[in-house]
Amino acid sequence: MSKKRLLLLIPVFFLTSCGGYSTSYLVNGDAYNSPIFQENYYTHWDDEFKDAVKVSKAVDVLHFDELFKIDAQVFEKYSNTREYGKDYRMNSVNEMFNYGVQSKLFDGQMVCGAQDGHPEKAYQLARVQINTDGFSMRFSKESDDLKYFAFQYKATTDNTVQKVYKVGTDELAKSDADMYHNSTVNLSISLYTKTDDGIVNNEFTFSEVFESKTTNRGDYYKFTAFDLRSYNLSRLIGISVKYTFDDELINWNKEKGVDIDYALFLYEMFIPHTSWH
Amino acid sequence: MKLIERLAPLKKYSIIISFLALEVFAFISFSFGNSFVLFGVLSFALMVLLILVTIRDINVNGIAHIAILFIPLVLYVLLTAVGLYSRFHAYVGDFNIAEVVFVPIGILSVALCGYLMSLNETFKLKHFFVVIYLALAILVFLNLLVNLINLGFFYPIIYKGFYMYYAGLKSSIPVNEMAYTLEGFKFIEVRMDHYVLYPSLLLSSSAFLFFVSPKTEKKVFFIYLTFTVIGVLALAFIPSIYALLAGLAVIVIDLIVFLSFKFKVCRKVVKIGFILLAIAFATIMIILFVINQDFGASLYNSFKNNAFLNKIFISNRFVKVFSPLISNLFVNNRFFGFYENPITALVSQEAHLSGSYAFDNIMTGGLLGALAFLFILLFAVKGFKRYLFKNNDNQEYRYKGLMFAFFAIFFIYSLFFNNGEYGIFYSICKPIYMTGPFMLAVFMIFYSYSQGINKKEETVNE
Repeated sequence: MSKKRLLLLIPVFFLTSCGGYSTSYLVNGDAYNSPIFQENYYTHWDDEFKDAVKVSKAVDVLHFDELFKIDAQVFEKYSNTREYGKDYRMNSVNEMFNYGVQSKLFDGQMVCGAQDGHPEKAYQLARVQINTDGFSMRFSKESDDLKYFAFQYKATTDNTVQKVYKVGTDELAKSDADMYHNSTVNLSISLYTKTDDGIVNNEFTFSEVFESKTTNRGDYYKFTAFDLRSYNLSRLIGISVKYTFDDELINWNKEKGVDIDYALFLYEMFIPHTSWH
Repeated sequence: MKLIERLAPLKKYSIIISFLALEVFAFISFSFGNSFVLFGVLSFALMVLLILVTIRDINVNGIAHIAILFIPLVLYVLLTAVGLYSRFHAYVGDFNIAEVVFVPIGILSVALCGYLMSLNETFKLKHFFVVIYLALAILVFLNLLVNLINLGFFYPIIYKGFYMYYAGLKSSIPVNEMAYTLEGFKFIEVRMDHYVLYPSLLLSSSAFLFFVSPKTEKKVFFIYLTFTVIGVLALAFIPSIYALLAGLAVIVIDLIVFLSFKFKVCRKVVKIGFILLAIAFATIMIILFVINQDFGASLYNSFKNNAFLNKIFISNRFVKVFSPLISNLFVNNRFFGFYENPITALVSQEAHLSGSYAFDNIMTGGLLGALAFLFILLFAVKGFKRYLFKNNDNQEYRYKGLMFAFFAIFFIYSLFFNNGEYGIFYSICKPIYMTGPFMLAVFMIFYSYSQGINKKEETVNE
């Protein structure tokens, strides 16, 4: 091999030193898996989304029992969200959904506990916990012809706080029933699309109410979806989630001098019937 | 006309068969598709072709000599194929039936290829080693590139203590203990000790550099230097304790090879060294056997109370897997390590590899299989010695030295670092006897042993 050809290997090695493909998916130690509630918030934001041009749209949402209105085969095939999640999980559509902390949102794990005999995917390891700052995900591929967006999540308060006042009283809660309260979440789901002029933040906003429930119970999940067909979105490259909330338990306890943290636990996200390139 | 005479004219095709053999070895060395069944099929086909072209040269004497190695190998592979490990992993779906069937077919075929190739004069070791090291170099280079692209230079140091998420699952070990390698047709995350195997084997090519002059044999020197450099880079850019130990092992083996050929006194030192190691190994095995039986309970307790003895004989990763097997060798429903029912292995969790081939043998093939393998090993060493230092014309000794270096590195690796369950996010079950390097090692054992016999006969006839 001539010396000139050998020199070609040098830029190959320099290119390989970029190392950006997987290092951004690495997490330090036991990040997002702490027994301390406040240490598990996922707050990653992609810089390129911060300056995206925002186009806001208020949407009407559907829940799982109404999903057949935008996806006919759901009615025939799935009686619950777990079955739906198993088949519709995004990591069966493209390998890129398998990487990073956000892969928890695309693995079909719809609930907190061990699903399908996988305790290694339970509890903190099953979900992405976010605060009001939210987070974003940048995809390495693009998708067109989006039909609908769906996700499963829970609103929750920090249940490690020892002394919590019952809403509207001066008594301390002694059981789960004592902590029943209403919680309203105002969500903002952004779907980032690429255009010739840059990135557009297609922001979809809606509110959901958790009525008379104590948060952080295992069975109070919400499955929410909204139709995208009329918006003709193309070149989807990322998603972000932000929210604000109005929680009776937190508000009342704040007046009593007790601070309780709040979070959304995201379990799964779906952008069904899409292909990625 | 006798069959042998009818087939005699086929000998003129021996050079084509030699070329085909090189292609087969290239496939195996590259671990192409990581398909043991493919390697077995290719080896079997090669064996049949070799029989056709060498049939006139096969003699009863040669067969009788090679039977000393071949019969224990038959016992070993058959017991392994139907043993605890195979049956358990076939039961849980890690092995398919073809893989189990090809354990004896593939390994016996490649062993016979070693014998038959020694009768084929058109087969040259210099071509064989260039081909297998070239295949290894391509594999190692690809693995290195993917690691550098995905994680960057020196990532085990930079990202020490970081973990990777894949498919919603957090990796069981930090990223500094894993690397990407080509498995089949995909690059996947594997344990670092598995990644180190192929660069270590490639680095055995460095032994050749001691015997070739860069001035008089520039091309050959440069080729082997390139192999060595790729092996060094693959370990240096992805540093780990395994890389360090592999590098040290290569240096020691290279020195042994070089000094043994240069100075006869070194051969005696090496011989004594091997004997001492063998005695130490046998002693450790006997002690392990005794302390894990009922009658050795008091000795077990006294070892446990001593920090040093505890570390050597009780609480290290090899012995923790090995001890339950040894202690229950003669229990009901087992026959020298064979279970009646593989589900028992599931419950007792004994069907897992320890990381050392020497200790795993008793689980994969039972006591008889392990003893058969030990027998093969002893005679292989004897055969190597005879082959290495006799009739070294035309600088053939350089390639014999390479053979020894390759085999020694492989043996050291499989003794300490071999973990057949090396996938991080993918469930992989690949005991060492289902790998390309093992087949190459078996080929080398039989080739060198047969050559040693042939050389001995030539010497006697003269």
